[in-house]
Amino acid sequence: MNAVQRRHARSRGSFLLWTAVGAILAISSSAVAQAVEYPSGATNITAHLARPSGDGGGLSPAVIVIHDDQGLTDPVKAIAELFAAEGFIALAPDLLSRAADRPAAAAGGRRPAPVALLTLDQTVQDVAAAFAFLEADDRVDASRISVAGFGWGGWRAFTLAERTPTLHRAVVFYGTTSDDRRLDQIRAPVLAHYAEYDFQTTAQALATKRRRGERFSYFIYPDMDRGFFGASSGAIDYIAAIRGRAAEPAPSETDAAGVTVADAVRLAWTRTLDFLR
Amino acid sequence: MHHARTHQPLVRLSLVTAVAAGLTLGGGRPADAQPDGVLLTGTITDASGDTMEGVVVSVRSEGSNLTTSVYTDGDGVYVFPRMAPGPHRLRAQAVSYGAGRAEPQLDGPVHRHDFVLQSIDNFEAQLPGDRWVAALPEDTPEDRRMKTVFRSMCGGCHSQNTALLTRFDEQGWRNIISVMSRIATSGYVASPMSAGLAREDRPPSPLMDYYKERLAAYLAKVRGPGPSPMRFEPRPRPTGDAILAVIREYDTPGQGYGLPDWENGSNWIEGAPSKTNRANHHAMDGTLDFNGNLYFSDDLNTNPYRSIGKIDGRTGEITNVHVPRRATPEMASAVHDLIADQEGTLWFGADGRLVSVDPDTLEAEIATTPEGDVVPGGGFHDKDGLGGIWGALGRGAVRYDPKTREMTRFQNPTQKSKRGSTGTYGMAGDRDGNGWLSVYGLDIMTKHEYATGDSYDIQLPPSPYAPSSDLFVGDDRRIFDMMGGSLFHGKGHPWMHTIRKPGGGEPSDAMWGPGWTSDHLVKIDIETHDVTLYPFPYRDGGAYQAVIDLDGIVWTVFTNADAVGRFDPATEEWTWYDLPTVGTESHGLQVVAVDGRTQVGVPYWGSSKMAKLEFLTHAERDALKAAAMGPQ
Repeated sequence: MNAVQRRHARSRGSFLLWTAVGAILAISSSAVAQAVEYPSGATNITAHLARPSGDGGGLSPAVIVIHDDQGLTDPVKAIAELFAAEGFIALAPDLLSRAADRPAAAAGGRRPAPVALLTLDQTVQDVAAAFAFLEADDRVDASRISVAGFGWGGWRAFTLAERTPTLHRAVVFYGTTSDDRRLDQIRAPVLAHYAEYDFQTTAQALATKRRRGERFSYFIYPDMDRGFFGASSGAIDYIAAIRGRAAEPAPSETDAAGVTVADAVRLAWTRTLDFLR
Repeated sequence: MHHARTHQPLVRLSLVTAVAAGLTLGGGRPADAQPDGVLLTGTITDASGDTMEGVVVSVRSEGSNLTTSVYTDGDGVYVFPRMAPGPHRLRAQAVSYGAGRAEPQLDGPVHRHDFVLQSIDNFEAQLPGDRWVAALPEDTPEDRRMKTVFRSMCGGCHSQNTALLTRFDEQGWRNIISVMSRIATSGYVASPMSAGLAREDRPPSPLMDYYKERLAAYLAKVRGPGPSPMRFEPRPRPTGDAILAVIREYDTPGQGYGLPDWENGSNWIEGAPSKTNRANHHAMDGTLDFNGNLYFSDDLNTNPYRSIGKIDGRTGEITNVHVPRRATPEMASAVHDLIADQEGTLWFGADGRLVSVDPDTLEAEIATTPEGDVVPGGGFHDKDGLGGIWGALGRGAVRYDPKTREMTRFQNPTQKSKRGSTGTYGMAGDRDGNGWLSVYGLDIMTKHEYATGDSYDIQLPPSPYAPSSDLFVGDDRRIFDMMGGSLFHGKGHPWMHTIRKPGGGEPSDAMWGPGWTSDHLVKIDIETHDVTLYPFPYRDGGAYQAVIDLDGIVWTVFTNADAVGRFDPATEEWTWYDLPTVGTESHGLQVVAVDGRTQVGVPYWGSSKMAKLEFLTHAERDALKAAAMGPQ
């Protein structure tokens, strides 16, 4: 059992929230989470909803967390919960929940690109529905709904930004830029995190910067592989990494300069929070 | 010649080999080379009555899938080996001339048919890809930049004549570049069998994405609706030794359909085939045996019928060999490369396993170790001088000894690099039993020494045709550094050689790498590792593979030039053989010695054929000509 799994297992709460389909879990002293469903066309999409546990009485900013090609795994839920601990209402849709034949996880943890079952239009529609779901919630500051997409979800973060003029911010972790003919439709500022060894995706940064100008900023993380922030790799103990404690084994080796995955995760997380606030 | 198999039988046969009755287009009748058949001959002249040398003349028996081609000599005379009697289709073609056509009924000892070819003004469609690139303007620095980008990025999925054949306005070119930037190596759009291959959510080719707008403007200038500055120059027609080739091309149509491809580059004026459906691509790789038969792989075409096909060299009959996939045995394993060892046994990778096929029985066997471990199949394979079979495996290699069934694994010294991808492409065995891998993205040749277990990286020097240092500056240069080295779905980094499929082996003391990007043949001494570069006769040919024949001659196939080159290391001279098809997109070649004479097998990926080149001596051709034409 890794740190994320331990965290999920250790306590359960009893809040009543929205269209809940599962019990609310007290994630920490500052966040709670539960499984919910929201409508997308004629389908209901399952999602993991995390929010600050304290009732400040005010509206909270929100963020949609879009998973990578492995679906809504525990590490992706953990990212949503981290956002909640920082004061965001975080909704992580399970875009595979509309698939009839959901591939089972392999023994090694990863599945052979289960998202290949989904069409582009379906996923874009389901992410847009997540935005509408948050926008309609009276606890959410509708002017401050952002999106964070990881890997496969990165392109969907770009696409949501194209279609949603009221989107506050978009954060893309090693994701593909959407078609350049639509980039000028994006009003929200976009922040991108790239891995040095993820050559083909990272190289898009130059053209995207030229086309988006000041509305696009990016960082390239030296010695990092695609997926360094974790997401479905499950290799990152986010709490440990971000709080500065020793992290669990990471997907990339430490390089000669002493840059570790935990260093890169902390830096990307800090930059993400600064950008969204 | 009998194929004696001396290696021990491999533990196997979880594998069921189904030999399907193949497609017979030859009707069981020997299609040509009849010992007492008809001598077909004639003379080619132009409109002014001058004889024309180096005209390719092709003949095909009605109902056959075999087309035989020869070239006219200095007297304008062509002559075929003796043909079977009956109805035939005859065609004479030369670039910048309209084709001559006839449908002769061959009868008697000699049939003569002369042609007068008329010159035409608009002949660019007849040209191979390299001549199109040669015609691209480079008058300004921006022209030179965009020509470099076009060279690097628009030649991995298709021949460059295919890319330029049709004119579009600037918006049209932008749309095409957008699509092509997200199409994978082989140039296919998404299909049900390869979900999402060209989807927008996959990262695009970095260079095409970065230069999209500027490349579209350049292409609209040179191939747009308005006047074009392109000036086309045909390659000189073959002369001398180059006219001695007799080229037999066998159609290799779809696995289960039995229909010949309608678009196959035979009629040059139609231009290169433009095929975006992989079901229309056949003969990815191929080889030949000692009896005149040929074998080809279908590569990525997952289908129920064919992993490899055997072509009867006399009849053209195709027999499918089905190597079952593990998870879905009713489907045939897709096969990429295909080699024959010194004894004629065929070797290839099938669904992750190393597989051999006896060419006589067409029985397939999975290679296993004495412990019962399945030997992994690599992306590419080759034999070495000691009889070992090598396979390229990601960032390493495996060597299998068919006699002892021992398997040895090797890891490349470079597993990760800030400069780019450390994955490998082709590989070859050398005379001494070592394996050589092309670390494609970084211009490294990795040598694995079988005897010592040591491995070496040999970094190739920059391409002599690298752009000048002031041509690309700032982000224009940085994008090349960020793209991760040469990419498989392009012609590669313009500063690199980008070796696709190297070749070596007895008797050569070198490893030979065809510079896909650099247009140089790279020679590496297998003992000193010294590197020597030899320029190809023409630029932008897209050299894909080099192989060595038993005389130490280096043979190279040119994907973008529809040609095969013969390089004699002793004289450092080239002989250039134009193939009779436009848009061949050949991704390989193999040689075999039959009665001491070299035959060359060439698969045409872009036009679904498999070719065999044989070479007459001048005396043999003179004798044929004398018999056909009578005393001169």
